[in-house]
This record gives sequence, C-alpha cells and structure tokens, in this order.
Amino acid sequence: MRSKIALKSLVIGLFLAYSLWWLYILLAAGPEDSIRDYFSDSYGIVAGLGGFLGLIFAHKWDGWKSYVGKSLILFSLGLFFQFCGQLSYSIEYYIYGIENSYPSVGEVFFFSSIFFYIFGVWFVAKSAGTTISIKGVKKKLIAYVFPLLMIAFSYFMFINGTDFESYGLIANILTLAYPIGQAIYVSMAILTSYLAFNLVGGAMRRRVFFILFACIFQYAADSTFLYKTIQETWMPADISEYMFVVSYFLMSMAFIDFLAAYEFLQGRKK
Amino acid sequence: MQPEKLIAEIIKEQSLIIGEKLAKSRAEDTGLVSFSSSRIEDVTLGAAEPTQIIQKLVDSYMEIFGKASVEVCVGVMRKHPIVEINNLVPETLKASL
Repeated sequence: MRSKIALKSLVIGLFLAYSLWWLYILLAAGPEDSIRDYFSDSYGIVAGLGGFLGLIFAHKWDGWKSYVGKSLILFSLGLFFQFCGQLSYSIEYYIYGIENSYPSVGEVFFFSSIFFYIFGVWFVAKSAGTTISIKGVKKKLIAYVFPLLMIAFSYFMFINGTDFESYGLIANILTLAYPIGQAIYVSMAILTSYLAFNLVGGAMRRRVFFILFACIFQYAADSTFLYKTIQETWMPADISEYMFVVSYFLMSMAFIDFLAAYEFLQGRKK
Repeated sequence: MQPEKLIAEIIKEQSLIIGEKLAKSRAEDTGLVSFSSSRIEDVTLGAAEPTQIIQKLVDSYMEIFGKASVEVCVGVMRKHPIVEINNLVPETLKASL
C-alpha cells in the first residue's frame, strides 16, 4: 500500500514538475532558447518510468499468461519504446552532434510502439469481452467501417499532398505508415469503448475506459505533432510535446490503477 | 456432468483473462471452493448445492468485469449440451444459455 502511494507520488510529482517547466517555457522562453531543447529531450523519462512500472505491475496479473497481463505488457512496451525513441535522438544530438536526422534509429522505437499499442488495445478488448460481443449487423458494420473511416481521415489530414519524390524510401514508408498505424489503434480504442459501454462493469469498468482514454489522448498528441510538423510550425516544447507528457502520465496512472484494482479484488473477502 | 469439472472449466476460462492467481482467489473468496493442489483441476467444493456454488462463483467474477465476466462463464456452459448441465446451472443464468 505504502509503495503504491510512493509510486503514485513519484509519477504525479514528475508530471507536475514537467507541467510547471512547460508553463515557464510558455510564459518566459523565446523560440530559440535552449531550455526548450532540454525539455524536449528529457520529458520521455515520464514514458520510461511509466513503461517500467507497467511491466512490473503486469506480473501481478500473471504477465503474459492472461489477457489483462498481456495488455499491460504491450502498453508498457509501447510507452517504454517512446522513451527509447527519444533517448536515441538525444544520444545522436548530444554525443554525435547530429540534429534531427529523420529518419533515424529512434524511428525504430517510435514506429514499434504503434504495434504495441494496437495489440495492447486488442487484449483490453479481449479482456472486456468486446471481441465476442460484435454481434448484429449494426455492430459488425461499425466494427468494419469505423477503422476505415479513421484511416481515410488520417490519409486526407496527414498524407494527401505529400511530395514523396523529395524524400527517401524509408521516410516515405514512415509518412504513410505512421498516420495509418495510429488511426488503427485509435479506432480500435474508440470501438472498444463503444462496445464495452453496456458490457463492462465491476471494478474494472473505470480502469478499462481510463486506459482506452489514455490511448486516445496519445493519438491526439501524435496527430497534433504530425499536423504541426507538416505545417512547419512545430518547435521544441510546444503544445504537442506537452500533450505527450500528459498522455504518458495518463497511461502511467492507468497502470497504477490496474494495480490498485488487482489489490482490491485480491484482498476482498466476502 | 460432475460440478467440479464445470467449475474448474469456468475458473480456467477466467484465468485466461485475469490470470490464474486472481481467478483462483476469487473462487476461494466464495467460501465454497478450495483447491487441494496448485492445479485448477483439483478443485474441492464446499457443502452447498452446485447451483448455489456456481451462482456465487459467477457473482464473484462479476465484480471484476461485470456483465462481461458473466458472459465468459455462460460461454463455458454453452460448450456443453444443456441436458448435461441443466442441474448445475443457476436459474438466473438459464435464460442466457
């Protein structure tokens, strides 16, 4: 119990520290100030901590042997890989002096995290029984059409009009794959929320919706970052980066909440 | 069908979702189910009607994922012909089969 409070305090403390730092940058820092780079290169630690905690908590749920455990492991790896992606770019910049070399090794981690999120949502859906609740024409139609709509939306928002001839093959693949991959996991998260609404109750109801919301928020952060990059308005420590801090925090809190649910259910006696 | 077999199947199915530790712990929390070894198959039932034990077991799992947990239990029962399990299924769940 004490260790849970300590971990929660650590996650909240880190989030508050980065929030205050970002607020300071917003109010007092200029566009070229190096404090922006320090923020941008270090906030991934929130994801690193969250991912590490999630992997530990997953063992409570029997780790890879249960759907809930699998979903926690996959989300944790997704979060941890976000941290590794950012770390890779920081190492390139601070040790090798290479600035924003896109695409780089860091993209291996960032791109892999999308797959972890997709399968993480899939196992949340399986835990919540929503994969077997897709019965009836209306639900089946929504289950097939909605992800396609999200992919189409992502295409027109982030891919349409891209000048593919100006970039290399890997950059072009990533330009296509990032928005599509992100559209897949967010549409799965929204769909699971819809299907779970009348099905999931008990101690896990709040937790299931919370982790799905964290996932949807991550998509909002990813999309804002992509949009600002395409518009060439992105800069270090801008709103998209703070949204990443919030999304990593939400996911970390969701992991702690899953631990709390486990302890509640395990300790409860009739 | 032996009630122990059906109950072990339900616990096993739940353990796929929430893990074996919690699935067994929730079963034991009913006060009517225990295990003579670490294996789920070695389930021992308390002194009560099988329908009552299964009802308590389903209620215990319902506290985790609500209706979704009940659906999992019902799904296990559906795998068996109704004539085999009719005397084991609580009245509240018969309509779902």
